[in-house]
Amino acid sequence: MEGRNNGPPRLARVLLRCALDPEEFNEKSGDLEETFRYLSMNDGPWRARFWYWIQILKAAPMFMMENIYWRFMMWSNYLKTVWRNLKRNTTYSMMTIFGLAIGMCCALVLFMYVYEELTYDRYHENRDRVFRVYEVITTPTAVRKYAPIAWPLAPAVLDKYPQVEAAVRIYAFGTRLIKVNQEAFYEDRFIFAEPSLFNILTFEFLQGDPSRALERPNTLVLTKSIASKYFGDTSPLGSTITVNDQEYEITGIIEDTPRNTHLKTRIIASMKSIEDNQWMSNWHGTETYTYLKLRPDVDSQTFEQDMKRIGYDYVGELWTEWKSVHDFLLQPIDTIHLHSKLRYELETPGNLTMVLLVAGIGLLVLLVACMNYVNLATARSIVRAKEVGLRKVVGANRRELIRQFWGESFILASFTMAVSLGLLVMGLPFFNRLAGTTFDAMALLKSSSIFAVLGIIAFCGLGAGIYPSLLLSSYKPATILRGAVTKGRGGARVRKVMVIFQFVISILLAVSTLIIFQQIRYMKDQYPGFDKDQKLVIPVRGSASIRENHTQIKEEFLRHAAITGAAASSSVPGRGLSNFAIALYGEDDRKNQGMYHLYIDPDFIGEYGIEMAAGRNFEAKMSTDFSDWDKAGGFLLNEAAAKAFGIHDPLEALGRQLQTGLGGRTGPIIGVTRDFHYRGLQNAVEPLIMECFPNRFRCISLTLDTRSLKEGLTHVERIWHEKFPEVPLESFFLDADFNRQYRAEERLGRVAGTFTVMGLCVACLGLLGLASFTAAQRTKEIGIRKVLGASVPGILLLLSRHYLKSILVANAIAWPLTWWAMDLWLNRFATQMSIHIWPFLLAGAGTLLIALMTVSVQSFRAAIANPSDSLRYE
Amino acid sequence: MQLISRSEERILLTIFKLDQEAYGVRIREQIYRDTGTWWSYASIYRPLGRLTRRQYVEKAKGESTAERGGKSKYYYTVTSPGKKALLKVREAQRKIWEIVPDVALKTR
Repeated sequence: MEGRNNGPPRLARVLLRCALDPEEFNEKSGDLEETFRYLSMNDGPWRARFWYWIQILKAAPMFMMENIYWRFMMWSNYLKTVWRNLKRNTTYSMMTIFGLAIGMCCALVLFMYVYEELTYDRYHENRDRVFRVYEVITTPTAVRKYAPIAWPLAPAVLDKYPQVEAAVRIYAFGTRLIKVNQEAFYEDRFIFAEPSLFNILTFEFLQGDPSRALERPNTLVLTKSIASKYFGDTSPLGSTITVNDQEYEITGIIEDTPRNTHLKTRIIASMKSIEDNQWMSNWHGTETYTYLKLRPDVDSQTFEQDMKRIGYDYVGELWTEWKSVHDFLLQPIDTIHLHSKLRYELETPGNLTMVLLVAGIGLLVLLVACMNYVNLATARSIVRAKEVGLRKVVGANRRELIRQFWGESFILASFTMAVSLGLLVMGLPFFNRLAGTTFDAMALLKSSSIFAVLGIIAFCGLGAGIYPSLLLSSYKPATILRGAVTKGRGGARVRKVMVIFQFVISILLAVSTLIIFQQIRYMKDQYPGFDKDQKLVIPVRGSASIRENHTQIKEEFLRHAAITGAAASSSVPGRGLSNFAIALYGEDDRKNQGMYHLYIDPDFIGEYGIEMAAGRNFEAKMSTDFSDWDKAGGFLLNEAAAKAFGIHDPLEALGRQLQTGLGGRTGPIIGVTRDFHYRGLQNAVEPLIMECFPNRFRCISLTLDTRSLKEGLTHVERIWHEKFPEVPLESFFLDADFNRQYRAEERLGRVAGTFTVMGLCVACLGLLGLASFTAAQRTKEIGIRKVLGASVPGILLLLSRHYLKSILVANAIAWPLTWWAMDLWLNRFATQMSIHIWPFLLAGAGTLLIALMTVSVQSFRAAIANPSDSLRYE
Repeated sequence: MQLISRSEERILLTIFKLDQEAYGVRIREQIYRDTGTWWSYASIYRPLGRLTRRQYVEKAKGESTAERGGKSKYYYTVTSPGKKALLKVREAQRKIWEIVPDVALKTR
């Protein structure tokens, strides 16, 4: 051979070889080379090379066209094969598609949930330089981290640091009474904010000018849904509404805040409306949520170190004297939802573990559905074997066959995805009601969902296609066409493993669901240490007040025989409590422990059936027991609080002096109560301080006689409207309200339950498919057995035996796994039940029964078939 | 049946003309001689492929030479359906040209 420089360009030749089959290549490259050599001699090698390349490039479109044309022909043939196979066995196809569709639905729903959790606050335009400031207060005994911080920080930071472009303070005041055109509403998610809010965070303005909307006092911005609730279709811009007796002008309408923000709001009023210089210059409180927007090139960590101790420029001496350290730190706005663990968050933060757990469950269900496909496809391999044989004989090589079967699973996955999207749109409202979620099928139209949809198709197509395609393409044509492939042997072991795996997951989910609900039941049934039945609670808010006249109002209510008791308090068990610092007087090292405070009247303890451990209750007759802003009448503690002060015998606590953080007042401890669960039973009882302080009373609890409930309620309503004609009556029953605290657990339980049912459905569909195929494969065998005298139950047993074995094995694997996982989950609860064996037995027996029924539907049909039918053709 | 295209016709005629000598390089050369342009190989192979598929030409493996890098020549011959197709296209051409008198095409 000649040197490589003389021949035609190598790369071009390689390209040519790829594009053509060997014979074509032989001819064409021969022609090209002949001309190349001729040109090379006449015009020189470079011209020749150039010419060669041009020839190849000119040919390129043609090769592509040809290739695509034949690919298309082949694919349309594959498509036809898929369609025929689906049609030939409708039951099988329905089962595969339906099973996979359920799996995909689960995966899609979970994707929506996980996506929402992970994209919290990522839509803000400047999120990489917007931070929330939080405050860490370290005292000798405790470290407390607050989401709301001291008022003067924002102006101080703006004043001192040029790195800060803008700052905004938000004051969230919960619920307000709003009056529009004689109608009154309670609205929560009401916030006050400074005008810079719209510069720092992203809100979509529909009407009004974002830069000027909150500039003046007594102006506010409504979200779209609130605006249409109050004003219907008319534009509310410029109209006024009344908020707690103060008139506000509407200066803007914004789009509803998205679901994935921690700052969900409905009404934003201007901070100027409540501006108070004295109040807002207090460095010691933790009251306002503060957000900073840094300049683009500022390093946030360096800045944080700089800013951390800014409060010391103003009140450093006091803090040093109090031996407390106040640090102001930054958290990026998009990490708040999943990573922030502060006190008084605007919204209960999400939980990353929970997100991952849910994502895991979704993937498992999808996996189960994919396995189904694999199982059914390999079980049917015998049917497809002849096709494989024929294709191979006609000239298909293995690679082409793998491509075909893989393509088939892709086609099926895409088709199934279309089905599952349809199912999802129909089933989502149902799922929402079941799981207490608020997903919207329209969210699937977002671009990010397209990736999820494609991802799931790819996952199923690739994952489920790999094994069947390898298995099917491995058949030798000679063996197949001789009819020597043994019945359904292909991948029998793999199928068994997959069935076991599917049922392990189903059992795991089922047992978990049972245990979750058992635990919730258990918590609800426990006596919380107080009497929560028959209690009607009326929150007193807006312009209504019982500060001065609570005794009189209680008497009014008590006048009816159906109302057997009444008590006034600042809050009730299950609702939020104030948290103030409190100290055992004269003991420095215990200074400033944060404890929950409940303000009650003398009837509260008796009404709620709270037991005393030592000392006495407040006395209505003793005016010295009552607190006001000048003095503390006396304190009741729970046992946990006594322990927190280092007092182990409740009797020892009596008579000791306490100094409360609310007004710095001092008073004696007059009694100690037994611990009662004033918050959900998930947590241990925390220290609680009780004071008889009428100024803080905001709730009336009435004990109703259930026999005359209706009359009682009418009476309550009548009295309320007499007393507070301006304010709508709200009320709730304490037991139901208290149980709301288990909503998170209940939701988890319902989600797990839903997925259990779906997973089990999918697994059973798979089992049904498998069973029908084995039964069909063994028709003749069964016929012969029957001729030889086998009984119907005997044949049933024969056909079901190995499935039962698989399920037993699945139980054996699932039980310890579940036990371990649930033990881990239960450990988070202060009040936890012990795990019983019966949820396991129930789930085990349940799955066994369901599986048995599934299998025997098919087996029974095979077993009762007349042998003369099945053996007729031999 | 569809008429063959202009390039197919040209190639078919060239093969016809070259008789036993018609392989890629020669076909291209002959077309250059007749028309004055060098066709790219792609624009020869493409109609040639179509003609082969429709069985208007037959392809036979011939000898291999060193200047072809040891690759075989493939000789093409026109089959009888090919000849029929040529007749048909000539008939069609004739009909089209018939109505155009020579004088009408004179430009000056």
